[in-house]
Amino acid sequence: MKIRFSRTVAASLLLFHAGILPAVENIQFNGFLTVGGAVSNDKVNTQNGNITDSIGFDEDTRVGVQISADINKRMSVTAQLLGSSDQSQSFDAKFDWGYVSYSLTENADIRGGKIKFPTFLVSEYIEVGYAYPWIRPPAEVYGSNPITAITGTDLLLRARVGGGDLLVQPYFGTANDEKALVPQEVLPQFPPQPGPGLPAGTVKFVNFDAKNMAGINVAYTGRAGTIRGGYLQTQVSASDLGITKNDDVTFWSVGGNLDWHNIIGYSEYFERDIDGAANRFFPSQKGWYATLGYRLGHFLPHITYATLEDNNSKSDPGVALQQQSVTAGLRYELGTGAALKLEAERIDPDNGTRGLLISPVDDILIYSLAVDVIF
Amino acid sequence: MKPFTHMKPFIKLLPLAGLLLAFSAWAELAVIVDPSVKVNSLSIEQLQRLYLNQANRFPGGVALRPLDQHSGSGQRKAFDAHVLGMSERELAEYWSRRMFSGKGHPPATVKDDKAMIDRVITEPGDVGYIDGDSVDDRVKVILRIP
Repeated sequence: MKIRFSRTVAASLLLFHAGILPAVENIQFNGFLTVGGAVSNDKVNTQNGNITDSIGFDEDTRVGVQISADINKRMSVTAQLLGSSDQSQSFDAKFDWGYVSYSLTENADIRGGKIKFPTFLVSEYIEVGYAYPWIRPPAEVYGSNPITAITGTDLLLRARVGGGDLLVQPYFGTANDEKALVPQEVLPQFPPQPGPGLPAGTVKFVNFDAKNMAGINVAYTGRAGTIRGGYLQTQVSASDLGITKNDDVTFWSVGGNLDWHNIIGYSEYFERDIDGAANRFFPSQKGWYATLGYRLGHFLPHITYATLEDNNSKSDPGVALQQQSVTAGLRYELGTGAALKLEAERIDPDNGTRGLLISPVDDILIYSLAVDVIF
Repeated sequence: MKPFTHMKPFIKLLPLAGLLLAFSAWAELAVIVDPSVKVNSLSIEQLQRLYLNQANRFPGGVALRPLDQHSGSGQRKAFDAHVLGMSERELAEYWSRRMFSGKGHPPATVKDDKAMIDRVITEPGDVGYIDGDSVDDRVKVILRIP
């Protein structure tokens, strides 16, 4: 028995060794780049400070490189490096996400690591401007969930249903040290201890953690487009804001897109509900947008309406950030794998409020230009 | 069946029409595999799913891997247009969404018909397409696309 045991161990060690050395085959490198400038017609900046009345490149400039490799027939590794000037004034490259994927069956994969997850239609490739019509997806909806990747695991379950593909994707994980913008309204009391506070107009991000994040994404894709729905719940804390009790957050969203003949359409809706101390800083909200475009050869003119509203039913201390916007855009194909985009956006915060801007204003106009490349 | 019998002469003429077309432009594309691969035919739809990374196993559980000819070649243009029914731009957008969300890559490419045959017979399970005139008896044709 002893001999047999050690032989087995030796054999499996050998197998392991043999399996690891020739391991990685089919390594792929792919990249994307967006260079974009934006300017507003008013001294009132966007609340993240990226778009002002002098031309700036912080909002829409980024570069990414994705590396993927097949370890064997069932297993692969994918990781993405991202350099972006957003949320800071220096162009930092970071390891944005990376995971290992294992194929359980032909129609089921399990993934583990840091996973980009689909809160919305384009969430999984939100940095890749080439993959969607706008310069940036509507902030009223896409800005509602600052978490784009979780550390954890998910399951991708696929089925062929009625000529299309159904995807059911449950996920579970955590997200630590995510960045949240401190609302202008609480700057005078920041930090939470007694002190002078921060002056109005300061752009201040604090870290927050999301624990026990559990969600599901269901999507159906046919020849003409995709419809999807998702639900997510988590518990958040942010010690810099005195949010220490892991307050409950729930989030759900539905949406669809259409690419039919020359017609392009996107529309999505979400509601988020935040409890406890966290709700003092981050209001419960709901919002939606609709985009319609028509392809004319290399040109894709499109128009978007978006709105962000309060989602309060009970006594809710959260500061509502309500606004509407209309964006007219034009995408022009610069050959294969490159696009030039122009946009004019009019933002209307609700009466007397600031919306997603840094201070109240009747309305502002933002002009943007971007070039997207994949390589 | 009866109402169609009068069409038979026309059906017989079809290969002739094909022959005439062959002189003017494209003959046909042949989708090929190694003869040892246990797949004898694929539908256009199965081929689409294989090449768009939406399926990689086919009747009998056979695993297949798609290969493209390089972009710009007549074979690639004919395949993209007649099998996938997508333009170069549509494919670039499609793959940008798939790739950067970690859902697969476009097929690897080979440089010409000869290289495609060599690759397919050395890697059983690889699927390629070549000009119908380049087919020889080292490969098995699983679909002809006129």
